[in-house]
Amino acid sequence: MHQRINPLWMYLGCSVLLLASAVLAVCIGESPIDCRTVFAIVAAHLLDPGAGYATADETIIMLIRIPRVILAAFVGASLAVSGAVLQSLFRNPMADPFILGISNGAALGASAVLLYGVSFGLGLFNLPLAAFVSGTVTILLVYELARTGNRVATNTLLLSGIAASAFMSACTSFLLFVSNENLHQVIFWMMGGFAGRTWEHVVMLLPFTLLGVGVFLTLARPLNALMFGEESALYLGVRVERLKKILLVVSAVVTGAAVAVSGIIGFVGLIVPHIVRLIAGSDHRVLLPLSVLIGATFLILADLLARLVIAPAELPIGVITALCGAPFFVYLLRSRRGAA
Amino acid sequence: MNRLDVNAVGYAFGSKTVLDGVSMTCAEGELVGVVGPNGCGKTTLMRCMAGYLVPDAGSIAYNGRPLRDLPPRECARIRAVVEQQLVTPFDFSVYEYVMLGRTPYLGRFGSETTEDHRYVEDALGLTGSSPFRDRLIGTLSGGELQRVMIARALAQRPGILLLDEPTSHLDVRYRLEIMHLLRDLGGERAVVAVLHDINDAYAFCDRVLLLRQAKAVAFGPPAEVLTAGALSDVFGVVAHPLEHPGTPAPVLSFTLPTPVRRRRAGRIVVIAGGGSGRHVIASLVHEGYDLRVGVLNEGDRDLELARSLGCPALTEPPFSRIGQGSLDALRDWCMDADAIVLAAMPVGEGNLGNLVVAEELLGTKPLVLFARDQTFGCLDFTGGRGEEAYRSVAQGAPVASSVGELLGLLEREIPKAPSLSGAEE
Repeated sequence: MHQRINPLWMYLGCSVLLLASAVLAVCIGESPIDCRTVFAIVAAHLLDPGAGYATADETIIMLIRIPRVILAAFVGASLAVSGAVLQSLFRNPMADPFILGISNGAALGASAVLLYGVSFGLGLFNLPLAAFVSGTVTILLVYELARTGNRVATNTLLLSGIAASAFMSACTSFLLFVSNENLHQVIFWMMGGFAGRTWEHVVMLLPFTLLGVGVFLTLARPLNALMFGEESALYLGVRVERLKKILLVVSAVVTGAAVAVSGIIGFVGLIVPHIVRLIAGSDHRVLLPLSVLIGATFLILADLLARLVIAPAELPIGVITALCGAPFFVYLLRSRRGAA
Repeated sequence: MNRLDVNAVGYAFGSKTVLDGVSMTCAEGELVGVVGPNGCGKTTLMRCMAGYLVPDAGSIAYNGRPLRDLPPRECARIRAVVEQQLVTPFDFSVYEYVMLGRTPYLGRFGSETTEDHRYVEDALGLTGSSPFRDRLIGTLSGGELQRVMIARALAQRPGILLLDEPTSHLDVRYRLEIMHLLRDLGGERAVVAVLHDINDAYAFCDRVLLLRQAKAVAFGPPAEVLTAGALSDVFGVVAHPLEHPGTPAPVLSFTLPTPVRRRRAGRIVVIAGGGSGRHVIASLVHEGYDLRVGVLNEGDRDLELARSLGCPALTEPPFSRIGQGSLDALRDWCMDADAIVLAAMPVGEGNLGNLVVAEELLGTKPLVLFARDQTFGCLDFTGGRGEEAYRSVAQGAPVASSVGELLGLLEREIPKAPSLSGAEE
C-alpha cells in the first residue's frame, strides 16, 4: 500500500520550518544581538515603516540581515522550483539549472552588465534581464543539442549541459580578462553568495520570482501530464509545444534573476525537488509549492552556515551547496544507472 | 454516434513514404484491428489517427468533424490513446495516474469533483485495476501496467479508443484478458487496436485492416481479409487454418514456406484421407512435384494441408459417400498423371471408392503404396473388402514405409524426360 500524508500538513510543517530558519538566521550573526532585541526592532519597524535606524543593532537587523535572509529565501525558492520544472520538462531527474548550464549562461549576461554596463535602459532591472536573455539562449541550445526526436536521454543532456556551461563560462572568463574593471568584485559575485546584498537586490528579484512561481503553479496540471512524455500529454489535451516553450523561458527568467542577484549557486534545483518527491510524491500541485518552501529554507540555512563556519570570514555559499549537492548527485547517478 | 473515419491518409518521413492512401472506418460498437509486418506503418497510422502526426495527404475525422479543426482539449474528450509503453522516471500512484485521464475536463486550479473520482473508480473497476490502485506505477507487472494504461484512457470517457499493440508484451493469460476487455469496451465506443497477433485479430475483431509497406491491402471482416493468400503475400508465411473446437474462429498456424529443394518434374496424384497423407503431401510438394490430391471430404486434415500448399483437390461434403462423379474425375486425374501414391488411410463404406480406383489402375499406371506397416486389417471398416483391396495393391505395386523410400521409388517409376508429363494428352 502506498499512502501519502495530507498535503495540508506538509505545507504547514514546511512553513513552520521556513519561518523558524528565517528567525534563526536573523538572530544569529557576527554581532551578538539577543533575540528579544531583534523582535523588538522588527516589531517597531513593522508598526512604523517610516522610522529611521537609530542604533547599530537596528541597522544590522533591518538593512543587513533581514534583506539577506529574504533574498536567500527567494533565490532558494526560485532555483528549487526551476529545478523541479526542468526535471519534469526533460523527464529526467538529473536536470537542474546549474547542471544544464542556465546558471553559467545567465552569469555571462550579468557579467556583461557588471563589467561593461550593457544597458537596456531599465535601470535596476538591466542585470536580471541580461542574465535572463543569456540564460534563455543557453537552455535552448542545450535542449536542441540533447534532443533526439522528442526524447532527451540523460547522458546527452548532461553532456550538452557541461558543454554549454563550459562555453558560457569561458566567454565570461574572456570578458573578465579583457576588461579593466575590478575583477575581484565580479569573481566574488560569480562564486555565489549573499554577502553585502541589500533591499535593492530583493526588489530586483522579487517580481521575477513571483511571476515565475505563479506561472509554474498554474501549469501544475499540464506538467503532471507531461511526466509521461510529450505524446502522452498531447493525448490528454495539453498544447505541448506551447507548454514547453513557456516552461523553458520562464525557468530561464527565474534562474536568470536569481543568478543576477546572487551569482552561481549550484545543486539547489537538484536536491530540493528530490527531497520533496521522496516525501510528497510527484504531483506538481504539491511538488511545486513544497519545492518553493523547502528551497527557501535550504538556502537560508546554507547561508547561515556559510556565515558561521569560519566566522568572522564567510564561505561562498556555493561551497556549502556543492558539499551537500555533489554527493547527492553521485547517489542519483548511481541509483539510476540503466534507466534512460 | 461515435465514429472514426480515415480517408486516403498519406505520410512520409523525409523521402520515405510510410503511409500511402490508407483508408478505414470504425463505427461505434466495433473493434477494428490493424495488422501488418514490422515497419509497415501501423504505429504511424495510429499516431496520425490520434492527432500526434499530421498526415501529408488525406483526412481524418472524429464523429464527422475533421481532426485538424478540433482543439487539443476537445480532442482529448472524444478520443483516448493507449501507447505502446509507459515511461517515466518519477513515481506516481496508480490512482494519480488514472486521474490524469481527467485532465481534459479539469481547469487550471479547480480540484477534482466527486464525478471525476467516480469516473476514475469506474475505469479502475472495468479494467480490474482496483486491487492495485494505491501501488506505485514503477512496481506494476506488465499485465497490470497495461490495464492501468487502459484505465487512464477510459477515465477520459472517450467515444473513440485507440490502442497501439496493447498485448505485445503480455503473457498469454493477460493477453486474452485484454482482448476480451477490448471487445467488451467496443460496446459503446469505436475501438481501433494495432495488433501484433494475427490470431487475436482474427478471433476478436469485427473488421481488420491489413497493411503492407505503407499501403492498405484489404479492409473488412477477418475471414475475408486474413486469408492464407493475403497472409502469404504480406508476411511471407504459409498460414494453415485449423479448426479449433473451443473457439468459433479458426486458429492460424504459421510456417515458413519451405524452399523447393530439387526441381523434380512429374505430376502425381495422391490418394489419402484422415491424415494419412500428412507426411507425403508436404514432402512431395517440396521436392517439386506437381501434386493433386484425391477425393477427400471437407474438413479432412489432408484437405486443409493440400489447400494450404496450393494443391488442387477433389472434394465431397463432410461425412458423405464419395460420389461417382468425383471418382470419375479422380480416375481422369490418375490417367493424366505420371504416378499415383496411395497413402494408406482408414477406409469405410464412404471412401472405399478411392481404394477401388487405385486397385483398378494397377498395372496401367505407376503406383506406389505408402504404408507404415502392412497390417491393413486395422484400417478396414468395410468388413473385409478394404483389407482385400489393400492386399491386392500391395502385391501388385511397390510399397514404401518411409518418405525417403517413397521418393526413391517415385524417381525410379517416373521416366526421366520431363516432357513425359504431358505426353499422353
